[in-house]
Amino acid sequence: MDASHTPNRLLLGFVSIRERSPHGYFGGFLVINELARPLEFHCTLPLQPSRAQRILFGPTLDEFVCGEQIARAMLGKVKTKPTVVLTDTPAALSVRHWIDVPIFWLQEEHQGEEPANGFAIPSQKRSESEYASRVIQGKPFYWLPSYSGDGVALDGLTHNGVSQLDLREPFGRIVEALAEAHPRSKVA
Amino acid sequence: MSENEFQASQEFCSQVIVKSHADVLECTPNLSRWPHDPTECEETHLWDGKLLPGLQVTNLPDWNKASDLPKVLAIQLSQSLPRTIGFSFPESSGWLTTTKHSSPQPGSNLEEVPASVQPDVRSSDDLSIGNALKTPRRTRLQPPKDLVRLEDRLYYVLQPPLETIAQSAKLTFPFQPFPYQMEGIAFLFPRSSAILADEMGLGKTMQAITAIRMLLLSGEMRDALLICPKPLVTNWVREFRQWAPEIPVAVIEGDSSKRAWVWSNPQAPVKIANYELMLRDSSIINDESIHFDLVVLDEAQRIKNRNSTTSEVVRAIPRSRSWALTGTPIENSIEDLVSIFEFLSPGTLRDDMHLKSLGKATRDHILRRTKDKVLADMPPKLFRNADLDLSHEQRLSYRVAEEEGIVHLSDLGESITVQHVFELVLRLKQICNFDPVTGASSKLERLEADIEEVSASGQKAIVFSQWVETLDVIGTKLQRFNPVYYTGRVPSKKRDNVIEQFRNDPKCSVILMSYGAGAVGLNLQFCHYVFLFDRWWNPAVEDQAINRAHRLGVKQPVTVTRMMAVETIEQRIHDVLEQKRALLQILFEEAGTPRNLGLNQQEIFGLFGLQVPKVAKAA
Repeated sequence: MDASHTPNRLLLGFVSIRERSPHGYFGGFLVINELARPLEFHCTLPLQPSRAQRILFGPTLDEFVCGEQIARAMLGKVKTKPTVVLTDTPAALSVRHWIDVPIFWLQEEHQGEEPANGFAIPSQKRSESEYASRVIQGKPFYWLPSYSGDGVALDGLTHNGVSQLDLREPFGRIVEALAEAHPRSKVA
Repeated sequence: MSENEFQASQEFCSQVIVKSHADVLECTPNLSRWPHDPTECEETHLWDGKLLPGLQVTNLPDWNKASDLPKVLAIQLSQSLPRTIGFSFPESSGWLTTTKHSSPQPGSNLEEVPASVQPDVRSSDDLSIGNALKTPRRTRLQPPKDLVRLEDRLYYVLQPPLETIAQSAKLTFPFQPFPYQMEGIAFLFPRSSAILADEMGLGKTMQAITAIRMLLLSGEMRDALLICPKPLVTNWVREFRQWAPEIPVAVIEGDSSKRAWVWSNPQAPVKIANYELMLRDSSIINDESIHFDLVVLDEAQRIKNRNSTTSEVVRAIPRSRSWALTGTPIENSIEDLVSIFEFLSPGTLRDDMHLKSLGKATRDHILRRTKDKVLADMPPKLFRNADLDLSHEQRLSYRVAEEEGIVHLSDLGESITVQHVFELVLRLKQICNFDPVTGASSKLERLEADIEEVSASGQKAIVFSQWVETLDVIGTKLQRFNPVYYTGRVPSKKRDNVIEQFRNDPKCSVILMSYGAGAVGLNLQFCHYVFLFDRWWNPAVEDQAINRAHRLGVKQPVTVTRMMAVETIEQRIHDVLEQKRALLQILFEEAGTPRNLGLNQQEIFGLFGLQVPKVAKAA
């Protein structure tokens, strides 16, 4: 990632990795400014893990595909480096091993609902207690415990302006963008 | 990959333990089933009889030195990352602040916003749209269907909800817009050609102003020209003050030099002009230096005749976006809609298009909502048909006029035109209002009694007629209710005063309006009684008139009294129009647009049992 951003601006990145049967995994990464306007968007072509990957990675397959493959590919292309990255996909947290930006998992607002446009979040394989966490304005934020210092970055989210934003809302935009980029008729 | 140990699946090789180091898989193959030729393994990625896509077989042992030790095979998993597609979006310099706006030049007619008309911000808790974020309501922009490039479509898909945009720009509103109004704003915002065709009274003005406001403040647009009927200019200025107080507005008026200056004045991002003035300033508008990011036509049915000079001048304005506002995109026939589209998107529609094709071509450009669909809790319109017998004097005059008129029409033979029939219709309708000799009027007697009741209850009433002379007679009769007039005779500059007097003077119980002057753009929702003293040819115009009172903000049901002289030409017209309205209602629901609401030539001749002459048919 190029660090071509204005200092002191809080730019937020949002990563969402979704599964849509039978096509596989779809990734979307959105960078917004402090007014919630989009600056950059990246998405991946649908990724179908090989049979060998499914066997060899077993229960860690989602972390490999979502974090090390899809999120890493998208964040590696970003030109406007976000200050903080949020994800609704816990399996994408593993991308933190490849990037130098804190990433936090923000749980879905309405878990168990019918996935929008058929895009479902890969099911969570780990217990929430395996992550470091902090509650801000009633919302729990989770991150990888091996990056204990990342929690400080959450302070930026309480600043004026950003604190007014609905931090879950941009994930809906990503899903709609994925549906726009990958309409069912094209991939089916 | 961190070092993990996996038990290899028995599906592949039951005898081996697999140990993975940095994506390299080493295993002992099942010798009994291992392919004898290693090249076979490399080419097909066959392992234990299974096809393993994506696996690369490397570090193959030297098969020529086979020993008793089990063979070891290393398999490299692909390290390539998935392909990505990326888009960058231009970041505008930021929202213009909503608290400052450019100062008007001395002598200019920029509408400075006095502090007293700043939005009525009672409390940020209940009025800031940001408050809406605490609710699930999110109104998203949808890309127009005619946007083809994925990047352009994603630009709109990825924009924040309107509520977020408004919140981040700290926009306040005089009152919280209804959800359907936010959807209307979201409809207009991304479109370069759009018709907002909401039923009268649903707030088309507010939706258009807010969309313009958001486009200007977000830097997506620099200027806009709004064209409306002359009597509505002050109404638009007032609405801009209320809904976009930080946006400077310039009204194009005055002598030619002043108008020329205002046309080219960059200080006002919003300019308001009237249709009549467009003709006079056509040379200025066609100047190469003039270009608008947006041109909005209010009451766009004014350009339904595409051959009119007004239509031609309006279509020639250099612009990037074109919006049309009208509650009646089709007043008489499909040609009305085609004409509006000649302004929006020339060539998109043709007069001879089938209804189905028409619907398909226009669907993404037209948004129409009706009150019964979006405002279930709005007080109803209560229609009351006052079917009246003509007075004795009127009946005598009517019979004579009709008999003589029909004889005259018959005598005309093949030279008869629709104009001849119209003249007789108008003559008979006037007798239905008043006897030409004695002035007797059963309608007026009934109206006087009704107004007495309205006034006694502290309410106000609107009386519509198509003739100013008729309104004069009514006004004389209703003098004790202090009527005011709103007709074509009242100069535009005085019309606001008339409305204010009607609104504020408790002694003034009646406003007498002509359909032509009062049918559009006025907000009279404080008035709960409407009387149609005589009937217009076209129900759409009547609806427009009725909706001066029955519109957003109305607190009580609106009672509409339709006065009609039975067994007269009025009843015949009424019956034809009602049949058509019922038929068109079905069509409208199916196709989304009514085809023809007025009377056609055949129906007009049919009022007197006449056939359309061949000459007229050919014309």
